[in-house]
Amino acid sequence: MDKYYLLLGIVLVFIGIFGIIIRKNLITMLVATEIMLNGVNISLVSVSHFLGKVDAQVMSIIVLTVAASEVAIGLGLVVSIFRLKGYEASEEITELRD
Amino acid sequence: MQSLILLFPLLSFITIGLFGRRIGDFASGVINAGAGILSFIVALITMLSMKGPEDIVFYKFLPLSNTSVDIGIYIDKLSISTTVTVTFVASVIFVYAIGYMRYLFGNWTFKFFAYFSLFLFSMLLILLGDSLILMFFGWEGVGLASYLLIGYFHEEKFATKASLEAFVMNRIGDWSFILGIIYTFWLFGTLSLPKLFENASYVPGITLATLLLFGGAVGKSGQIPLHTWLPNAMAGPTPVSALLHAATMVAAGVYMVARLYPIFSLSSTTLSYITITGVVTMLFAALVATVHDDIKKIIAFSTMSQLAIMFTALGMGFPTAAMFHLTTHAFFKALLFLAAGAVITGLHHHTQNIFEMGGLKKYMPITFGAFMIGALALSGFPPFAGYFSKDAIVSSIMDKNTLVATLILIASLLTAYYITREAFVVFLGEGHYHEEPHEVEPVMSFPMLILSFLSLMGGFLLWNYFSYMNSPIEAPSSFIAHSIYGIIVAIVGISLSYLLYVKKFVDPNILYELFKPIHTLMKSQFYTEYIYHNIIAKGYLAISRLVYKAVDRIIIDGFVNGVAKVFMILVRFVWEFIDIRFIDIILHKIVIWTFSFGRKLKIIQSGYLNQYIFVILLGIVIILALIIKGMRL
Amino acid sequence: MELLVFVVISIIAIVSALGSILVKSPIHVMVWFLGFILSVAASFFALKADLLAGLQLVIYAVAIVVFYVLVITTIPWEKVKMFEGFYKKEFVFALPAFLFTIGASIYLVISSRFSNLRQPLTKDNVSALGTVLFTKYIAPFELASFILLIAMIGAIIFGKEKANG
Repeated sequence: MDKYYLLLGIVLVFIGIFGIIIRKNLITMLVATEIMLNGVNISLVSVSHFLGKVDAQVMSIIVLTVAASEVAIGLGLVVSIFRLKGYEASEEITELRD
Repeated sequence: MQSLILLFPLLSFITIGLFGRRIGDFASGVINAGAGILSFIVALITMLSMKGPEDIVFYKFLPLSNTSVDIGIYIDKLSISTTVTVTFVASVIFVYAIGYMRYLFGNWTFKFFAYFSLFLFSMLLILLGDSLILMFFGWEGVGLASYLLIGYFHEEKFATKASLEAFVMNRIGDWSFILGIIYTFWLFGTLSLPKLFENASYVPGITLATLLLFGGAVGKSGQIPLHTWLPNAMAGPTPVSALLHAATMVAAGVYMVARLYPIFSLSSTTLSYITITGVVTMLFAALVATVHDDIKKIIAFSTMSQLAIMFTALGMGFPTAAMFHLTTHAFFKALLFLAAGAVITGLHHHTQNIFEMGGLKKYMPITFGAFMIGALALSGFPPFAGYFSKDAIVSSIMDKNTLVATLILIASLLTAYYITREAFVVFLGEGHYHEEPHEVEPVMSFPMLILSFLSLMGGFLLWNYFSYMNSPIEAPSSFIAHSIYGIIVAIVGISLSYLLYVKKFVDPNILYELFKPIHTLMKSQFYTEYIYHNIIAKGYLAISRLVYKAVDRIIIDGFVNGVAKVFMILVRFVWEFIDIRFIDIILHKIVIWTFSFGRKLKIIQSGYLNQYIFVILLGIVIILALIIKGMRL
Repeated sequence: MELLVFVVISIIAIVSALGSILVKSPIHVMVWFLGFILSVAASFFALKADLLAGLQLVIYAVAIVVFYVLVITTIPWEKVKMFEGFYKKEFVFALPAFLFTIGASIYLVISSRFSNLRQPLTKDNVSALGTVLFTKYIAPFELASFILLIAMIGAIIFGKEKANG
C-alpha cells in the first residue's frame, strides 16, 4: 500500500513541474512549486511509514521550513518585481538587470 | 698593536674623505700628517721590540679544504725596516705638502690629503700584507691613488693624459702580476707569504711565474718597456712626485722582488732577465736625463735610473744592498723633489724649465743647501748617503761581474753629471725674474732639513743595516778602498758639469748644435714615447679604423643590410601570398562563423523560466528512460 | 479500508493539484491549492504522521495560503488578469514528456520490489519525532531555523523597498 503513496508523491512532483512550465503567472508558478514540495513530503512520509522510522519525517519538517522561507522570499520578489517593473509574467522577466 | 700601522692611514683616509669639507683643508692636512707620523712611531716601536718573523692573521677568508686566503700582516725584518722608512719619508712629505698646497686651499684640497692617506695605506698593505692577494690589493690601491694624484689638476689636459697613461701602463704590469699570482698559486698551492717561503723549492714552472711577477714590478717601478708614465707623472703636484718616487709607488716593485726573493732566487733565468732590464733602463734613463730641461723630469729619470740599479743588484743576487739603496734613495730623492717643489713655489708656480731659472742661490739659500746635499748624495759623493749605498752595490757586483759593475759606474758618471748640471743651472749663474723669488716657509723647509740630515748621515747606517739583515759586508776600511772607482766617477761627473755650466769652459749651445741629433734622440727617450703614442696607439687606432671600414661597414653591415633586404622581400611575398590570400580570409571566416554561431546559441539563453524548466523535464525523461532501459536489461 | 482511503485521498490530491495549475484566476488557484493542502494533510494522517499533518495544516493551510491571498490582494487586478494564461507551445511540447514521466514512474513503482524491513511505527508519533529531532538531527534543525531567520530578514528588506518604491 505504501508504494502507492510514494507513487502519489512522484505524480504530484511531475504535476508541479508541468505547472511551472505551462503557466505565465508568477504566483501560480510559486503555487506549482509548493505542489512539488508537498509531493516530496508525501514521498518522504510514505518511506518513513514503510521503513517504520521517523527520520524521514524530520526531513519533511525541514522541507516545510524551507517551503515557508521560499514562500516569504518568493512572494516578496514577486511583489517587488511588480512594484519596480509593473508586470508579473515570467515571459517579461528575461533579464536580471534593468 | 702592529695593525695600528695600517689603521692610522686608513682612519685618516676615511675621516678626511667623509668630513674633509666640514673640517677644512688645513685640518685635513694636519690629520693626514698626524696619521703618517703616528704610523711611523708605531712602526718604529714594532721594529725595536720585534723578536722574530710574525704572522698576524685577522681573518680567514674563503676557507677551502686545506688552504685559505688569510688576511693579515706579516712582519719580519725586511718588511718592518722598509715600513719604517716609508712611513718616515711619507710623514715628512705629508708635512711638506701642507705648505706646498697652501696656495690651493679652499679648492677642495682635502681630497688631495685623502688620496695621500689612501696612498700610504695601500703602500703599507703591500709592505705588510701576509699574502700575495693582500699585496695585490695594495698594489691596485697604489695604482688607484697614483691615478687620482697624478691627475689631481684634472682641469688640465696633460694631467689627465698623464694619469691615464700611468694607469694604463700600470695595468699592463698588473695584468702580468695577477697572472703571476695565479700561476704561483697553481705551483705552490698557497698565497700566504710565510708558507710560500717554507715551501719555496724549485719547480719547473717557476721561471714563468717569477717572470710574470717581475712584469708587475716593471710596470710599477717604471722600468723599460713600461717606463713612459714615470716622467709624465710629473704632471701632479710636487709632493705627489716626491711620494711617488721616494717612498711609495715605484719602490713597490723593488720591494716586491726583494720580498719574494726566496722564490725569485730559485730561477737564474729570471734573475738574469732582471739584471738585463735593470742595466738597460739604468743607462737609458741616465742618458735621457742628461738632456732634459724640466726640473722635475730630470729627477724623475734619475729615479728610473736608481731603481734600475736596485733591480740590477737584485738580479745579481744582492737584495740587502738593493733594499739599503732603496732606503737611502728614499731620503735623498724625497729631498730633491721637496727642494724642486720649493723652487717651484719660490717662483710662484710660473715655470719648471731649468734654463728659465738661475741664480736662485741668493734668494733661496736653504733650498740651495738641501738641493746640493741631495744632488751630491745622488751622485755618490762621499760621505753622503748615496755613496755608501751605491758603492755597496758596485763593490758587491764588481767581484761577480765586472761588466755590469762598469756599466753601473758609467750610469753613475752620467748621474753625477746631470744632477749637478741641474743644480748649477738652477741655483748658480744669473737669472731674471718678473716676480722676486722667495724662500719657502718653515713648514716646507723643516722637512727638507730633516731629509738633508738623513741624506748626509744615513749612509753610515750601512753596517748596522747589513748586520740587522744578517747579511755579510766588508769592513769600513776595505769598503772605502774598493769604492775608489765610485768616488772618481762622481768627481769626474761633477767636474764635467761644473766646467760646462759654471765656468762655461765650452759653450753648451755649441755642443748642442754639434750633437743635435743625439740630443733629440735622447730627449725623446729614444723615441719610445713616440713609438708608444704614434705607432702602437695610433697604429692600433688606424687598424681599428681600417677594420671598422673593411669588416664592419662592408662585410658585417652589408650582411646585415642584405639580410634585411632579403627579409623584406620574403615578408612582402608572405604578406601577398599567404597573409592576404589565406590567413586573412580564414580569420574573416572564423569571425563570421563565430558571430552566426553565437546568434544561434543566443536562442538557448532566452531568459524564459519555463523553457529552462522544460529542459529539466526533458532531462528527467531521459534519466527515467535510461533507468527503464537498464531494468529491461 | 486503507485502499479506499488512499483512493479518495489520491483522487482529491491529483484533481486539486491539476486544478490549481490549470485554473485562470489566482484566487481560484488558491482555492484549489487549499483543497490540495488538506488532501495532503489527510494522506499524512493516513500514514500515521500525526505531527507532520498538524504542521501541514498550521503552516500551509493557515500561514502560507493566507500569505498568498494577502499578496494577491495587493496586486491590482486588472494588470494581473492581463498576464494570466498558458504558454501554448510549451504546453504542447511538455504534455507528452509529462505523460511519459508519469507513465514511467507508475511503471517503475509498480514493477519494483521493496524490502520487507517493515517495523510498526510507535503509537506516539510526536514524542518519537521530537526525540529524533532534538538528538540526532539537532544540527540540521538549527540550520533550518537559521535559514528561516535569513528569509525573515530578506522579506523585511523587500518590504522596505516596497515601502520606498
